[in-house]
Amino acid sequence: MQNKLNRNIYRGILLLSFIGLNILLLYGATSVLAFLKTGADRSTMLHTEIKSEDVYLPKVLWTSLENPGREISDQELNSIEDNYLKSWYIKNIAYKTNNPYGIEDFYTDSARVHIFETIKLHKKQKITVEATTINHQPKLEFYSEDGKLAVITDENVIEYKKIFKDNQLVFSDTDTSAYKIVLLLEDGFWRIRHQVKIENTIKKDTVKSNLFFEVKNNKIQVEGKPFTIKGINYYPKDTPWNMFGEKFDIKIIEADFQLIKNAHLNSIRIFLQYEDFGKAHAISEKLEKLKQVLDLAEKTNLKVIVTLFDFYGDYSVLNWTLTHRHAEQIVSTFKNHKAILAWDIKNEPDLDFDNRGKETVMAWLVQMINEIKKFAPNHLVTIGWSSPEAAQNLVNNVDFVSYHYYKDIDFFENDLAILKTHSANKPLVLQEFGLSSYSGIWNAFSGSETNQANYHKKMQAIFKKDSLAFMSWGLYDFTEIPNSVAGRLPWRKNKQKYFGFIDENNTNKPSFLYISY
Amino acid sequence: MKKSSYITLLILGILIISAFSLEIIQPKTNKIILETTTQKFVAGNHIQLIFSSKEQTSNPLLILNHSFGSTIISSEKKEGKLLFTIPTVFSKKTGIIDWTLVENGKTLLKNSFEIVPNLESKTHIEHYLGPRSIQAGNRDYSMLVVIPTDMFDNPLPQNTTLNVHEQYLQNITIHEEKTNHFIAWKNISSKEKSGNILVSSSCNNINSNELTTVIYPSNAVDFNITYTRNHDFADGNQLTHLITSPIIDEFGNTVSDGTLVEFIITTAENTILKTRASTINGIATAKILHPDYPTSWNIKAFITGLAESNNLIINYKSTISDFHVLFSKNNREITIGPLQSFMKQLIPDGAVVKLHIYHTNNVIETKSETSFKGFVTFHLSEEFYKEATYSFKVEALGISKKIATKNYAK
Repeated sequence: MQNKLNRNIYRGILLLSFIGLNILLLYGATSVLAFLKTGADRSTMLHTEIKSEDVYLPKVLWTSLENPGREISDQELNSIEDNYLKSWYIKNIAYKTNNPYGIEDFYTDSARVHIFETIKLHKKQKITVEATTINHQPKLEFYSEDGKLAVITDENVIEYKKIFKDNQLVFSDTDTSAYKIVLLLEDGFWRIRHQVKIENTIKKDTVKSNLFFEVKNNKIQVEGKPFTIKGINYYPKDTPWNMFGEKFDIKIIEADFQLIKNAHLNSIRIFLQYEDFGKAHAISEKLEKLKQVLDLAEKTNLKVIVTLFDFYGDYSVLNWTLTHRHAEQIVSTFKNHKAILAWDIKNEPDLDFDNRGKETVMAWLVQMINEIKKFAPNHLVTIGWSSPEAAQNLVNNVDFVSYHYYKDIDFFENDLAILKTHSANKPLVLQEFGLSSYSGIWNAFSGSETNQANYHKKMQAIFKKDSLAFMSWGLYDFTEIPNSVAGRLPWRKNKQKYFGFIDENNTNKPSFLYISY
Repeated sequence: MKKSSYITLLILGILIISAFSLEIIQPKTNKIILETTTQKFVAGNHIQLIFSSKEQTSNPLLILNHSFGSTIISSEKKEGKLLFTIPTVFSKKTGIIDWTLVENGKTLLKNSFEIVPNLESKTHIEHYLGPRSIQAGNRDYSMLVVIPTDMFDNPLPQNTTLNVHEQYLQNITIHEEKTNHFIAWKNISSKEKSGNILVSSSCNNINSNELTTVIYPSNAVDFNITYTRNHDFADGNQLTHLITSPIIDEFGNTVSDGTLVEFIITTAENTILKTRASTINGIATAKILHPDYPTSWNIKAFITGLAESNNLIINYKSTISDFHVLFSKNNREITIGPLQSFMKQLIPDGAVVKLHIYHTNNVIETKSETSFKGFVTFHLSEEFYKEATYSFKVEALGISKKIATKNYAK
């Protein structure tokens, strides 16, 4: 009996493996045939397909097109601008990798020699340069009658660079220069023939047109009156970390705003995800939804701190300009919106220090603050640091210092005192704090809603004593947490679900009593 | 006593202040001083920045931002001084060089110097002329752009003088131009007579090669047409030549060879025929086959959008006056001919003859054949033409003939 069963099993295995082998053989043979049949697409012969991806988008503003030669058409100007920016991009890559790939396309025979020599020298001395330009203000000085030669003066070229020797960062800096450039049209490419660094003459400062929001005497002021932020980090109950997605419902948000207002809070903090909002080309649909939210906040008399670049983590120098365009499109759309108290550049950027390098992250933040100040001079700017220690970074660059606090409540006042002495007298905002009421297997049933209520009670008492600005985390408990927020680990994920003042059944938790002071 | 204590206090105060002022005069960062005073260097020359340093141990690096990028230079120590030699790669290119002296990521000193073009060296001239073909007259022009450089390929400074030489027929002119934004430019105006203009430029006694721009004739003006033909018979065989007068532009230049002239022929029946030819030495000769029936043609030529000719009327006479039609094989074979032309000669092969077939006064079919050796034969097969009677009309070279009812009954 046993023997017969064994034999049948062997037979089965043999049969199945035979069939399996045949399937594999057939699959293999057909994919080889399919590969051989799909020859090169004939249209590729002419290189007519357009492979265009935005890789380098510094701010370009043509200040003048008046020139004694020929009047330039938009199309030609675009083509000059495009090729000129690519020349910078290709050159930046070449100096970063010390590989002259692509230089031939954007520099003429005589000009490229100089770059080749520089690369040779850098290679020998193990020097690499990572650089990006952030701003260009070109002026067309001359465009020849036959449309094959152009001279431009490019002013206010803001350039950030990191210089390495033997793979060690030697120096990083942002400087402003001007260049005079002769370009020739060769083989359909505008190529650089001469490039000479000249004196930069124009200096431009952004001007505040109104002082609706400002920081004065160590206080945030709204319309000239001191404003103490009593706020909350806000996501709608059913769409955490996806506020502007398919399920966007302004009615739900309206009810929530009313709820927040009735709880004696005066501000909220919301998040815009970098990719969700369309990276370098902000999606107008999302901007429209954001506008609805902001208009509603203005109507409800809530101030909003808008956190940009959520889930962004690249920071690489050559991609900076793409993030600048992202910020420009969002920020300049709402540059005069009275609901926006501040732009929070990024949530907890200090957590990227280890992976991306503190130097790079900080440089990106500084540059981004400059950019945002340019686009919205009337709004305040802050950075949502993950701890009071991290918040000591860049205190001179932000309008007010934001920090998060998830440590033991007993250390809070001491940590705050330390931060105060290192904050260049800027207003401090506790931008995130809270306690999860999660009680379950992952924390040995140690949490409870009572604990949470006590925590908030204590915190509010401290805030009240010194009239501190706070924004708690968060309004609702969530049923789903995306992996990108708290990772896959269940003890983290479950904890993250129960930070709210209101539970998933829409009932106020005990902590709701202590949502404000 | 009081006075002396005041004096002591005063002295003490001065001492303290002077101690602080010493601090201020020599803050820590200024331990390194730039000794090189030159602010402008000439391209291609040896460039060295010399710093003197109090601290012997310091080993700062010099960061350069030049026209084409950034680089780092290490120092060389000599007699307690720090020497930074700018590599020739950078010292030969003009422009402002911003330098920063850094040590451990901290800026010690920051300044800039300028490298100016090397005027002692041999000048190179690069010049561009375009467009290379222009129209005669006084509207069009070519533009010459000159970029003089030094031997290191650096554009020469603002307001460098250069000469633009221009030759046209017997005239040679020289214009002085000055560079602005690295370039000097001059418009080379067209002339009324077509031909070549040679252009060259010179700067600092260095001459460029010559460039040519071609003045092409301007737009054609109205012209006349005539014709020639071997005879005036409508034989459908000979060619009539349509010839333009020499076509010129408003300045008397013969238009460029290859200018297309289109002849539009309106026939007596108001149909339009076209033929075209391109000019050689201003004359276009088009050909068209004679019609095969007597008619009158009205011809006008155009250079599309630019010029037109006079109207020309040509008449064609009939070649034949009559022909025979012979029915045979029970009337099923119809032979037409001989077709004789104006000298009784057999008409050349290919003349079209049409046979219209009627039955009870309705056209059933029109057959068409071309002549061979003066004859055309039509065949009416029994299978297709089953009626008892048919009548016919024969057309050839503009003459038509009716043939009364023929009987096909068996």
